[in-house]
Amino acid sequence: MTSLTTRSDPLNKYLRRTLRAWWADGLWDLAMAGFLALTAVWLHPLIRVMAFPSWTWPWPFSTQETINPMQQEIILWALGTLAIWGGFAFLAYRVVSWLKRRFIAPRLGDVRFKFILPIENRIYVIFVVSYLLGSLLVMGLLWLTKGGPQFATAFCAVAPASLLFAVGKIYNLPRYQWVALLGLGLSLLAEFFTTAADYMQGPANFLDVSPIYGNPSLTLLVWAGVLLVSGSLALYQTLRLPRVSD
Amino acid sequence: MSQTDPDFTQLTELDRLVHEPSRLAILATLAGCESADFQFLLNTTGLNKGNLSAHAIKLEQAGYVEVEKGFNGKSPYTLYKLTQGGCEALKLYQTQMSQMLGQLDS
Repeated sequence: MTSLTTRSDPLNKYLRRTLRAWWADGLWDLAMAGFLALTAVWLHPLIRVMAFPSWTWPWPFSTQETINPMQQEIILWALGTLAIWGGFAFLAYRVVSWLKRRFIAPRLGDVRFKFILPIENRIYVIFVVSYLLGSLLVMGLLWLTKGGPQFATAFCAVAPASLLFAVGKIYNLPRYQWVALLGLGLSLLAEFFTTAADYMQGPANFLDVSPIYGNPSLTLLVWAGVLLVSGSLALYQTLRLPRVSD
Repeated sequence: MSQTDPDFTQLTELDRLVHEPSRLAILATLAGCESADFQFLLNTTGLNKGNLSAHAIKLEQAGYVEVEKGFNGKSPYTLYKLTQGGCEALKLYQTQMSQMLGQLDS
């Protein structure tokens, strides 16, 4: 007998169709692009200080002393990352929700979501499995071509791809599967075609930081660009739909 | 009845208000969000305006759905929200159906 319980649950079908509305119009892509760009810019000095612990912090931090990775500024900067992420996520949620009500609701209907979406566990499983497989592959490639483990770069390249792949698969958004492939490919290309800076002692200060040396920030910026394009196209298509009245 | 035979007596215990496909579609749609308006429910469930309105009234009367009406500028809106009771009824229905379908599988 065909298994009845393993068939696609019709309740889940409606639940997924509802949740799909959160991603379908492209506004989330734009918010995510902003999040990745902000993360790239914020983490850039931190990444440099981990790679080259001999440059100085910009104003308002001390500009004369050589950085010691245990200094308070570094700890504050790292902790600030969490505050930046939390603040941005909340702000993005409010702005995206408002934009959906203002521009998307007249076309597709008004659907409002809580800050934490009721996402099913299956999506986490797909994310973790694809992330682990992708990371192994990418780290292997980077090891062969550039030498060194490059954990951070592999994480920044593969994690967004895994997330988009999982969301695209569960919520029937083929766009995300293409975007996952494109973003992963472009971020890896950017990584492969950049070489180490010639000053291996590190840049002199914050402004002298090279934007392209085996840098996870570059990977994040590539991803932000890909999501910006993807979100803009999806939003354009949604806004072309005719308005309907209640 | 042998021990391996499925127990269909549970079918009579199902909440008929939830079991009706159109109302089940409305409840399942609302379970994925905080609230949704009439237009979104129309698009998602595929019901026509009359049917959707009639089923929504039944769900509201049962206390499974909360309705909020208002104006956004000059445009009227109607928002539907799943209540705690509606959420529990839907979960119970899902559990009962899973159990019965599980018995058929085994």
